[in-house]
Amino acid sequence: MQKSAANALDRKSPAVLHRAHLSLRTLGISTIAMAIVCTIAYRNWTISHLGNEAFATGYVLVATCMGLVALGVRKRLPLVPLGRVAVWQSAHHYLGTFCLIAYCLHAGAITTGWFESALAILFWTILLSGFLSWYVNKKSPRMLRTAGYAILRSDIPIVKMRVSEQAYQIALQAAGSKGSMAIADYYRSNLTSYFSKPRSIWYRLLPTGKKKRNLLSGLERLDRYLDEIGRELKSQLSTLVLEKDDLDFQSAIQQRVRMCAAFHTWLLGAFVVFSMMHIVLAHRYSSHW
Amino acid sequence: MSSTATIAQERPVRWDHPLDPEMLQRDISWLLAQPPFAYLNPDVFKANGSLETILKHDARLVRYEPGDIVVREGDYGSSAFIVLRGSVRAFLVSLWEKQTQPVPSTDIWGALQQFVRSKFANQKRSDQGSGNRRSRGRDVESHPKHTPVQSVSVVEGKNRIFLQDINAILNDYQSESLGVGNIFGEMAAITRTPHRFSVIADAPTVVLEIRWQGLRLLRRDTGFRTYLDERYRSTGLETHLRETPLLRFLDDETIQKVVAVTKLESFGEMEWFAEFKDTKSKEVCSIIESEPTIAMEGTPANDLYLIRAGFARVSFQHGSGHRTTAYLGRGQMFGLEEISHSFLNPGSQPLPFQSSLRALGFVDFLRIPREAALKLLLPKVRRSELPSTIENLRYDAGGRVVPDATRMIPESNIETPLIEFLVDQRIINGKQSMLIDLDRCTGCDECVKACASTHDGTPRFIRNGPQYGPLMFAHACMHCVDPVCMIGCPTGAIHRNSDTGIISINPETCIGCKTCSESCPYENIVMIQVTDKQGRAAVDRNTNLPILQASKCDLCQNHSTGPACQNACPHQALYRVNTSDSSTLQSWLLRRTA
Repeated sequence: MQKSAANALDRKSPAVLHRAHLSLRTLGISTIAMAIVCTIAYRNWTISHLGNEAFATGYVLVATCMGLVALGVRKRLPLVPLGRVAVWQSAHHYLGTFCLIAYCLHAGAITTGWFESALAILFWTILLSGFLSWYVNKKSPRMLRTAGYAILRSDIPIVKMRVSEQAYQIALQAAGSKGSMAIADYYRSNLTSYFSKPRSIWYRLLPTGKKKRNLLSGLERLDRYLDEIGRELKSQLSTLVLEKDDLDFQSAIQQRVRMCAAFHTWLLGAFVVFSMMHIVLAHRYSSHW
Repeated sequence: MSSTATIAQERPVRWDHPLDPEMLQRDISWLLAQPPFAYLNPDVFKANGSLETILKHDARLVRYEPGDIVVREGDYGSSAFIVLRGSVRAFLVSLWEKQTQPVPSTDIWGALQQFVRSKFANQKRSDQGSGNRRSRGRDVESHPKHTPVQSVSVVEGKNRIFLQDINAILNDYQSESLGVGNIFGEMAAITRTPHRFSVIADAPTVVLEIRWQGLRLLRRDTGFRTYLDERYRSTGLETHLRETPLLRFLDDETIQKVVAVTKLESFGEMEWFAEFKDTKSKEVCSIIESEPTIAMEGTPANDLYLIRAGFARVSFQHGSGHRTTAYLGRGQMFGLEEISHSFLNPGSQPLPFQSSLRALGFVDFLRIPREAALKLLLPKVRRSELPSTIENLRYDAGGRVVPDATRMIPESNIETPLIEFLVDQRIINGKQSMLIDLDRCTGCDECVKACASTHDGTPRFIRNGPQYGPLMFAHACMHCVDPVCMIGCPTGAIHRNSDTGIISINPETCIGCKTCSESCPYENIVMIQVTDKQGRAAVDRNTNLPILQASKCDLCQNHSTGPACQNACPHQALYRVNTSDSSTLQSWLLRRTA
């Protein structure tokens, strides 16, 4: 029988649930701390037994990387009963933190040789992209909510076209009257590209309201040239400028989330391939395992 | 092969597939000569072919051996049954103990704790001996000694589910014999609710099963409809009262007295969804005012209302509009506060209704007179379960508005605007509503991808829908309490799983008529083009038009993992929530806040 998440909810108070959440976090952090201590102990034990500590920490790092890759595998197996992806994601975050420590124990802060350096750069880039992805995922929902009613990314181009068409019609209407001619001029000089062209790559990476504010203040400054009907048209056009900006903002934020995730995944894939090569080379040219 | 290629085939039509292909013409002719069909007016059915066509495609003859289960209590009703030969027994008491299922936890620790608890619970179960309400209400001496054991055997390639040692069970459990000509199961089929009792064959029996699509057509005959309505209003009342938690301590004699004075009434339209779609765009205030009023605030609280099926809105006049404070569903009461106030304060004047009760679509309820409630019911209810005295009156004993009165605390702890939103959008109908927390959702579409990969590349929901603040109720099948999409399906392709309550579509029998898609008031069923395994779109051989099929969320019922969408969400933003139960929703909201 299917069980919904709702059915799974017990009647605990928010305080109790909050404590449970905190205890889970404590568990995660303490597990990672334990893993770090164990890795250091294993490394020291290997050294004391005249073993090669690079191999010891290296294989810990490889195992950690495999654990990190497992999240991607889990996502591609929705029908296999492997638990909720959210739990895997949480574990991925903790494991990522541990991976940083394991890497430092293995390679240190500075590496030499072109292949190792490339691998190191790849590692740090992945780590940064991971943190960036985590930050973006954390911040995006609230940012999206500030941009009004949630809209599907696939629907955004259609709505944009409708908004663009409405703005064009207002400009046409404004062009037909002397009291609102200034709006048509402003549309031609400032708003045509705003409504018809996609936003810049910088906006997509770091969306801001600067352009919107400039356009709106420009429209405000037209007041002195407008009659009553013109002001009404200006008000309508201002609303459309806001609507278009909201759509661009939603599109940019959603795109950013996906880009971060995709970038992180590709890099992780590349890192795994490079790591395998590194293992082969290490075994090939090392005299002491 | 290109996915744009098409393949011509015959368009499926209504009654392509008879319910029982093996039913012979002579069987149908014989049936037509039997009551009640012999008394029906055949002209009424001309619009749908004929009575013969209805019987051929929506009915089937089923043979049962002694002990065979015809209807199992708790299963969702989708057919009515008429005994044609032999006899069956309707059990007036519950045959099986209702065991409390362990609630699965959503986190690892919770699951582990639950696992440990379940280990101990299994050991304790035999000591507790917790019978259900229906069995507890009877004398200890008459407690059944034989626990019915279900077995399955295969007869002529079909599964036969029967009870072992039927004679002992007939001795131990109170039952009523239903002979030739008796009809049963029609209430559950018409109201789309679970069966209240089990029916077991006690002799070699032949039963005519009429699925509810056919039953609905047969009800066009006035005589047949009156007959069913009378039965609907006269039977099952006692069981229903016994099943009401507040009335669980009532003895048999009191129950009989209450049954004698209780009225069974219905408000609103069974096919409310058609009107709902039209009224959606209207002013909220006018929508509320157009809803049939069951009880009006300020009028004497002469009755206690007990909802049997459907939903009702509890509201009060606020400014020039109405403020919704709660929604009531099956098993909930209205007017209890007012009557209880009089019961707890014997010398005080009776209070009028402090709120109004309005039908949201179709509501079926029991009306127990105030005097009967005061004398028969409330003395048998635990004081702790009675609502406390009303401190802040909205209407005084004379029915006048109390000026500057502190308004009554809403019946539910969910904030009023959210209740109003849920009621106005009829999301209260959902048992598995897809709720997306927009404070967590990044729009990554992992849920959509998981759904698509689970369902041959076609997602079964749209990650968009009505929003209330940070809560989005996505366009995914809610597996409603009242699944109006099932009304009018000519082939019965859309059906409710009797075990899980999940509503799904059988692609083999769906003819793409769009009835369900157009009936769904939430736009949660979409029509998709039928394709073959090579991805070629099917087109009608005669018209060259595409052949469509209804598609909706089936809650991944064929997979042990549960809903893929919920499992795939990496941000714990997507949940399936029972919005028909305000306490469940409240729990979810509390959890979210935490």
